[in-house]
Amino acid sequence: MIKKLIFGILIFVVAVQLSAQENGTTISVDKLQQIMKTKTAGVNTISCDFIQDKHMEYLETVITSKGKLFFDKSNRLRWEYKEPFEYLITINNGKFTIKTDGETSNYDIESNQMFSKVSELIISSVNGTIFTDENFNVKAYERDTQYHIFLEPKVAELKEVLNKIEMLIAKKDFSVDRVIMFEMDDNYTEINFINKKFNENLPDHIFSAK
Amino acid sequence: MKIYLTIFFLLSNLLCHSINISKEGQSTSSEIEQPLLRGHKTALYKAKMQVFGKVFSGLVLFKYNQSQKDYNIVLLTEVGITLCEFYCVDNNIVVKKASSLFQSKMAQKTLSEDFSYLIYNVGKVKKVANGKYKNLQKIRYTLDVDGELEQIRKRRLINGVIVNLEDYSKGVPSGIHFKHRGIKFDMKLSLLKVS
Repeated sequence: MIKKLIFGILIFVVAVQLSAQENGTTISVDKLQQIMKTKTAGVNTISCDFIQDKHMEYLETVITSKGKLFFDKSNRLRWEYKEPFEYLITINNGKFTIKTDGETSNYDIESNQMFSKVSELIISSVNGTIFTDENFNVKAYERDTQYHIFLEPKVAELKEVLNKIEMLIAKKDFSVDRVIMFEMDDNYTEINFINKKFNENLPDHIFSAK
Repeated sequence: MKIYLTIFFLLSNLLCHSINISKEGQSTSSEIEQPLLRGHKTALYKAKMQVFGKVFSGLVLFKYNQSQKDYNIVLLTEVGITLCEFYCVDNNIVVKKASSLFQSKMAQKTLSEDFSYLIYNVGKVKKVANGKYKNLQKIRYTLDVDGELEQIRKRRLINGVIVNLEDYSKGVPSGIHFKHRGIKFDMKLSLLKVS
C-alpha cells in the first residue's frame, strides 16, 4: 500500500514538473508588460510575412494561407492575404476596411462595437499587448527563447467564438512569433509571423486599401 | 350512370397509359453525376454571399470522408474562424455547428439545400430536350457540350434556385453561382484548391 502511495506521489511530481517544463516558469503579467514596454519602446514599425494554418482535427484537414503584415506605432495596420486568395484588412485612422473580390467595405471603429473589438484584438495580437486586455484571463510563462502566454476570454461574445488564445513572444526582439486561436471544438488557427523587419519606412499608402 | 362508367373507364385508361409512359421514360433515362468531389477528397472555394443586401465573404471547404462515405462542409472566415459546419446523414445535409451569424433556420436550410445540389448524385433523370433533363423532384438539369452540369434549376414560388456551374478543367467547377428566387440570397463560389 505504502509502495503504491509513494509511486503515485512520484508520478504526480514528475507530471507536474513535466508540465512546468513544457510551459516554462511562471512570470507575472505585470512584469512581462513592463519588460515589453521597455524593450519595444524603440520599435516604430513592423513588417513581416505570415503563414496561417486552419486546423480542422476531426476532418484531418489544414487550410494554409499566406500573406503580409505591416504595422506602425500609431496602430495602423495592413493585414493582407495573398495565397490562395486575396483578402485585405486595413486599420487606419479610426477606419476598419476590408477589400475582397475588388470590393471595398469601410467600417467606422468608433461607432461599430464589433469592429472596435476586432480591431483591438488584431492590433493587440500583433503588438503583443493582448495580455493586458481586460477581456481575457491571462497566464504567462517564461521559456528559454520565448514567452508563452495563455489567454482565456472572459466575455460571452468572445467565448462564443474562442476557447483560448496562445501566444509566443520572442525574447530576442519581443515580437510575436506565433498566435494560436482555439475554437470551442477541436478547430484551431495557427498564425506564424516570419521574416520580420523592424523600423522600415512604411509609406502612408501601405495602410490604405486602394 | 353509364356515362360516368365510360368516363371512369377512359380516365383509368389514361392514367394507366401515363404511368406506362413514365415508366418507359425512366427506363430510357440517363444518370447525371454530382458536380463536386468525383474522385476528389477536398475542394476549397472562396465564397461571396449577398444576404438581404449585406455582403459576406469567406471560404467553403467540401471534404469527402472515404471511410464513412459521407461529406463534411465547413463555412469559415478568411481569418480562420468557423461560421457553420454541415455533415451528411441519409442523403440529407444537417448543421453540426453554427455561429450566431448563421442561427437562422432559413439560412441553414437554404445553405443545406444549395450544397446538396453539388454533392449528391442526381440519379436518374428524364430527357426533356437536347441537353436538358429533369428528375422526379422536378429539378431541371442542363448539360454542356462535354456532358458536364452547366445549370441546375429548381422552380418554386419561394426559394426557387438557379445554380450555374462553369469550367470543369480541374475536375470540379471553378465557378458556381446560386441565384435564389423569392429570398434575397445570392452566393458565388470560386475554386481555390482541389485535391
